[in-house]
Amino acid sequence: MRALKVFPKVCTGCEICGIICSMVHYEQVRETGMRIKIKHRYPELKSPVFQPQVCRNCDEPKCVEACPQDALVLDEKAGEVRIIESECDGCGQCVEACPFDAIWVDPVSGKAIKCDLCNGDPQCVKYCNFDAIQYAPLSAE
Amino acid sequence: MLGYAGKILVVDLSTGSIDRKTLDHEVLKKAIGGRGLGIQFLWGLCPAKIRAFDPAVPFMVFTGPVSGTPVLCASKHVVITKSPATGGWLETYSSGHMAAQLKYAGWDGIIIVGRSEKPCYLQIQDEQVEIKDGSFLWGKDAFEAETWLRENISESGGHMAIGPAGENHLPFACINSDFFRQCGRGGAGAVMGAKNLKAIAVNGSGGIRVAEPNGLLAKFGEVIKAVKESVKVKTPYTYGTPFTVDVCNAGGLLPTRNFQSGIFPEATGRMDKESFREVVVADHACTGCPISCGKIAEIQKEPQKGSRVEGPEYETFALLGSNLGIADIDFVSRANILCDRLGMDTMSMGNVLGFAMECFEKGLLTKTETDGLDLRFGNQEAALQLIEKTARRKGFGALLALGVKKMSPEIGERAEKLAMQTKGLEFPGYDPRGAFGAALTYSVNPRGSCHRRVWPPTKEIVGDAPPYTVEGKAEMIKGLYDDRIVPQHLIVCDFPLLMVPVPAEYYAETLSMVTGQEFTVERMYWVAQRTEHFIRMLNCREGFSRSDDIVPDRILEEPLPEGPAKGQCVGRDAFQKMLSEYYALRGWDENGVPTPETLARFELSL
Repeated sequence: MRALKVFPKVCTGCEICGIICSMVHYEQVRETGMRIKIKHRYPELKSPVFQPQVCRNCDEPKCVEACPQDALVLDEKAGEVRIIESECDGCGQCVEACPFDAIWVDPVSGKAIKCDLCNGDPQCVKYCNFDAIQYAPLSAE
Repeated sequence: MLGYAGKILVVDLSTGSIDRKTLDHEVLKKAIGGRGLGIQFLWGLCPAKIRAFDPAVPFMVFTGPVSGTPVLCASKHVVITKSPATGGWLETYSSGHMAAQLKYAGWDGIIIVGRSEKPCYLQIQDEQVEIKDGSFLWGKDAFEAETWLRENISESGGHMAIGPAGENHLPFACINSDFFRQCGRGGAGAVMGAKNLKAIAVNGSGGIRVAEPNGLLAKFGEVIKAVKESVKVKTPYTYGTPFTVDVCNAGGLLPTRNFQSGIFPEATGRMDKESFREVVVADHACTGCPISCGKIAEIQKEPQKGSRVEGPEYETFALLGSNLGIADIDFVSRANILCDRLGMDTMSMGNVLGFAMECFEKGLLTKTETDGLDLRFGNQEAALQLIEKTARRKGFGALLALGVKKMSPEIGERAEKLAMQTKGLEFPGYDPRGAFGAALTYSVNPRGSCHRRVWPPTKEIVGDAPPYTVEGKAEMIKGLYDDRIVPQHLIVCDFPLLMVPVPAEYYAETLSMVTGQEFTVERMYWVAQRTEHFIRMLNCREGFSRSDDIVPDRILEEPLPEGPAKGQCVGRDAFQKMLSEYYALRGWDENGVPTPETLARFELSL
């Protein structure tokens, strides 16, 4: 099992990950379509100044628990939380439930979006110049 | 053409009307974006020879076709208006989230005219545009204002906000974005203030479409790899722009005590790149930038121990540090935070203080005028007090708030020689006596003395051009200038050109991939030069002429007293020769006016 791991200490807040994410999923740059975002701690700039927000595929995902439509499922074998788009009505309860602010409702589609690991080949990782996002086996393995 | 949103938002604060202009394909081909679009609209919309604070003056924010896309460092926006400092053309760039959010919202730019009766702010959410009552924000510093926008509108939006300096119409009031990024030079913040416009908040839910998404992503991957492998980039990444303190100190052109010297030995070990590195706690890249020259520094000593600032940048170290005879990173950081909060350009503020300190030491100002402050070089507490007083036009600060050009006649004839400015804009952090080409750069730049078109050390200090001669400099400066203004049309940061370096071909290819319209390197340079002629015509219309393309006497006649450039000054005749050569190369006549042939060649019928 592999997952995206972020390293806020080396993140420069350049947001290239989000730009790439949107381009890969929609062939356009749209903030509301980004499944990885950077939280800036302005104006105090306390560490970590830049916190990448991306789905961690929790073992006991709060979003799955919160979804009244059963539109979010945990694929235990793959270790991945998946969105069944046809079932999602965009109510946003998953957004409220996520402790990592890593799931959003896309105002364009009206459905929840989150990192889908680009079908096992996450593109943002390739463009990060500072290795602040890595795709690696989980340490538990 | 793709890349563009295709329309500009037009807001009249006097009438409250909100309108739009569709961008014409033919205009875009000749303007591209950024300063190219800026001159197109300023020429047409701004009545000639009116004051910068006249409600009729348009205050404009522009992006470019590649803004927000995966093109290297495409997060810049530019404000174009009339400069309260010079009375002429003003372009002033910043980064942050403004450019991308404007494009997401479906706008390539904003044109704001008129004056709101009451303080207001502009809120843009896609097509929904509202002029809102901003009375409760008026009087707040720029950080407080932006914090309110983040907490009440959107944390990730594009924001612009002014501080008290903008509200008080200082000719060096800036506009903050993301707190620490400024449209710094030329007083754009005062134009917002004069319109009673405290802030702008933009959020967009739409997307920026490009013609060749896959090709563009592949190119982006290649250029990031080039950045990773670049040896040159390691210096700005490691030290941020303050590495330039060492470059300029070694080159003998570091402004010291109001440009009385070009070296500041006290900086070594106390305010140089290595000592700065020790207080850096994090890096901050602009959106879309893999280089990350932005540094976050932490104050080490009381008071304010533990406070952090994005920066200080080199220019701030030069002008609020060595130029005031101060070698103390903590002081510069404190002064930087104060200027950011008050909404003032650190560069002009540094010049103003340095100028006042020299006047004080020479007896042209006494404690009677300075509110009792001992204004000798090196007095940190006096400097901090005066920064606050200047922004609020209080006491002696009311004089400083004029900027050095307008201060000098108030002080007396002898002060005029000590005012380091061109066209009313205070000097950047490079003494032209240590690199003569800078004298030309400062004098011909349409916004006044400025280092943003040609970085003075490029060839004369870190390259192999001999620094203490005007021979060959007109051609050298024109070449560097044209290289630099191309990115300012797209708009992308001009740093990678020098610091990676990224070739012009990359920008032509990616501009074509974004727009779906073929742009060659030659075409981009043609557009960039066309804009330069166009801007020159605007300044001519405003009454500028050859006599305004000048640097102060100190640079021309007063030899530097020490350092590598000891004994050097540019010389009056040599300077005029260099200027004439530059005019000829540009296709301008002896008065600096573009000739009819030049205008025809660049399809300008004005």
